[in-house]
Amino acid sequence: MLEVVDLKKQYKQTRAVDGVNLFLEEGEIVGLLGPNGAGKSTTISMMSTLIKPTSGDVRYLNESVVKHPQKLRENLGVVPQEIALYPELTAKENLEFFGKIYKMDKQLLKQRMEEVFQLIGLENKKKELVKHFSGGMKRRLNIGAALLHQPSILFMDEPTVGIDPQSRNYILDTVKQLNKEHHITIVYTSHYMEEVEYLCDRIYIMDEGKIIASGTKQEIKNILSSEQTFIVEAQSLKKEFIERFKKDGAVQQLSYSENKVTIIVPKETNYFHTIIQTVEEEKQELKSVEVQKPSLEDVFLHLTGKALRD
Amino acid sequence: MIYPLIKKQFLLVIRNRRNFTLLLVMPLVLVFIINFAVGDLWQGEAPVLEGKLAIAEHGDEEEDLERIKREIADIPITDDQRNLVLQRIEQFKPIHILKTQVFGSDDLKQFIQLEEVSPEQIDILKKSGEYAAILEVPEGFTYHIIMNMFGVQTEKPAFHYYINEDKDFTAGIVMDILAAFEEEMKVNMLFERYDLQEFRVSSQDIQGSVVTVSKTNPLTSTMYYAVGMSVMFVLYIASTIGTYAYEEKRIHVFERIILASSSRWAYVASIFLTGTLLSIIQLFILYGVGSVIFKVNWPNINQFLLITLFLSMSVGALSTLLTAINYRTHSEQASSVFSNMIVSIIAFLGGSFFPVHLISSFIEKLGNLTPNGAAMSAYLTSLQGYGYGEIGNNLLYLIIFSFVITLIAAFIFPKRGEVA
Ligand SMILES: Nc1ncnc2c1ncn2[C@@H]1O[C@H](COP(=O)(O)OP(=O)(O)OP(=O)(O)O)[C@@H](O)[C@H]1O
Ligand SMILES: [Mg+2]
Repeated sequence: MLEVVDLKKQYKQTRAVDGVNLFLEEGEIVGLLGPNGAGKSTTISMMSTLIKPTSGDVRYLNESVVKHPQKLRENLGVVPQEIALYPELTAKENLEFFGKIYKMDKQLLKQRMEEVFQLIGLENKKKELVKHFSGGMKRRLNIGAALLHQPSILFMDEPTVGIDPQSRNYILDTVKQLNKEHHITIVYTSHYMEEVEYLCDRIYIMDEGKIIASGTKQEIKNILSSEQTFIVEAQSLKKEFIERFKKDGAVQQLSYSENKVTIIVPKETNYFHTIIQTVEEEKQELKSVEVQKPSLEDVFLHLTGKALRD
Repeated sequence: MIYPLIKKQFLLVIRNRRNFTLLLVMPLVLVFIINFAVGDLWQGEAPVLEGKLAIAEHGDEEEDLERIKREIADIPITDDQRNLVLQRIEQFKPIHILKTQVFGSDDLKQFIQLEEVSPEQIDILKKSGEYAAILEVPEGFTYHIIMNMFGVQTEKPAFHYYINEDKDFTAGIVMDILAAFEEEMKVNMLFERYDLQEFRVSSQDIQGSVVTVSKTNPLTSTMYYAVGMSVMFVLYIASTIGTYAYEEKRIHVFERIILASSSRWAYVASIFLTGTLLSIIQLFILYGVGSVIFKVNWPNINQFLLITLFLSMSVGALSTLLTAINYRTHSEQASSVFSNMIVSIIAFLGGSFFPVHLISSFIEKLGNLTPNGAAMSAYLTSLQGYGYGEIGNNLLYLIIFSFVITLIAAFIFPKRGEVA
């Protein structure tokens, strides 16, 4: 339905997006995952016709949206990363305005506003000024404003940044609902692994302007299927103990803090035995040893060598 | 499409208390303060219109009439007709009428003093600048007029005027009166030539134009500052709207507007219209209050509406320009430079603080090139009861200003896809 072909965006010094390819099928939720500055928002902006790509193309129903943005815009809702609402207007006035600029008919708009307020759970806050809203309420209205004109595609750029867990769960459920009940195709951008894991059918992982991995959740996790992760916890870890793993050629990746060390090794090796042996030899006291299933977070760490969140 | 944009803009302005104060309360307070401070200085001031007119005759009207009486014997008409003409000629003395009935009328005498001078003095008087205008009546003026009436083609009689540029206001009035007078004469010549009616030169007709002059209202300081403050504070609407539009971009709602496929033209038009409408409302409220509290009343309400509309349109234009620059520079700088510096400068030039045109005519000209200055001149002229002719230039300038500024803004406004 929607296809992104070798998309690039060059700002004066930074290459924000560097040859992104992705596609979107009707009815799916696709995650776009990446750390700060990966180029997610820039990609979304180009996909939603807000900025022009330096090169490459975005095609909707086999037509370039760079040249003909009209058709996509009609069917597209965008939830920007930033809260894009008038703080001095009430929730109702905001929605009314955003509906009217879509040239919605008065009766339909009224009905849609009711539906949207219900969906985002702000029925009782319609008449309040947005500037008096909590972060979570603003986020919800920010989503609501994109839904009025009944888009069939929704781009959501980090819609849960900086809000309490309760609001966040509410939003995640709303997104699920939009997809399952209203059959809206969704691109969901985040740097929260759990969100993407919970919501998305397929995932693109992005870093430094490039897509570095893509596929279904399982496919992505399979990247790590050849490895296993051990987490060793103690009151305090001895230097000598850690040194032993650093020198071990079998260890692929190692990260540690004062009381915790994470060790990644090939799956074949029976490393649990090695760890227990080393504990005994170095007389390291021990709290726990955990064998971890690979998470998307690990995939990310594996692929980029850095943590998702700062 | 444009309507929701304008409605939203209005809501934003009304919700913001600071802007509300700046746009409505401040100018009223200032008029109050200034009114108290300078009110006394202006008390009992004479009307602005005052001046002297010199008339220099090369010939002598009585001699001209004698000459006609002598020559009429050669014109091929019946004796009855000849006698009738001779009778009428006795009553027809254009220069005499001009001196005694037009400029000698009670209405006009208090504004314009007519003095008779000899033709040799003209050059000296021209240099002295004492007179607002000098009227030179050529030799045989009356003779030629009457001969022409009877279809005898002699010279075309005409006055010569010298206008004092420094006193162009009074001079302008004098010219208007003389033009009306001349017109009257021409009509009479035609009437006579085609034997339509009697001589119709009467001072009554000419006084038509004199009457409007005598109706001129004196300007008071309250009127002056009510106008001065209103034309200044209306400018702040432009910078306020410029700031809002930029804010719209900063908080990303502009992206939503673009996503809704709103055309940029609709957006620019909505800014122009919002600026214009807000200005009209502000000016209405100010002058409404001004009329109730300060008794600033408009003799010609249509003129007032016209000036207000055109001034408001220039503010609408300035709003689009500041918006466009703010978008371009990705900052609110244009708005803040405008409201912090430019408004003060052009308000000074336009005469909002004190009548700068009294200092020099250069500043006066400069002032009339500012939208507020042009509007102020027009408002003050209208307040004194003058006609459209006197405010036409100012109105024309405001229209041109609005058009040119909007055009520039449209060019500056970023096109789709441009990083701005
Ligand atoms: N208008 C711009 N001018 C110059 N550089 C820009 C501009 N917009 C983005 N960038 C740069 O492009 C890169 C990608 O930015 P982008 O906002 O797309 O990242 P992101 O993945 O959305 O990050 P985050 O998770 O923090 O939202 C960053 O290095 C950013 O500084
Ligand atoms: Mg982003």
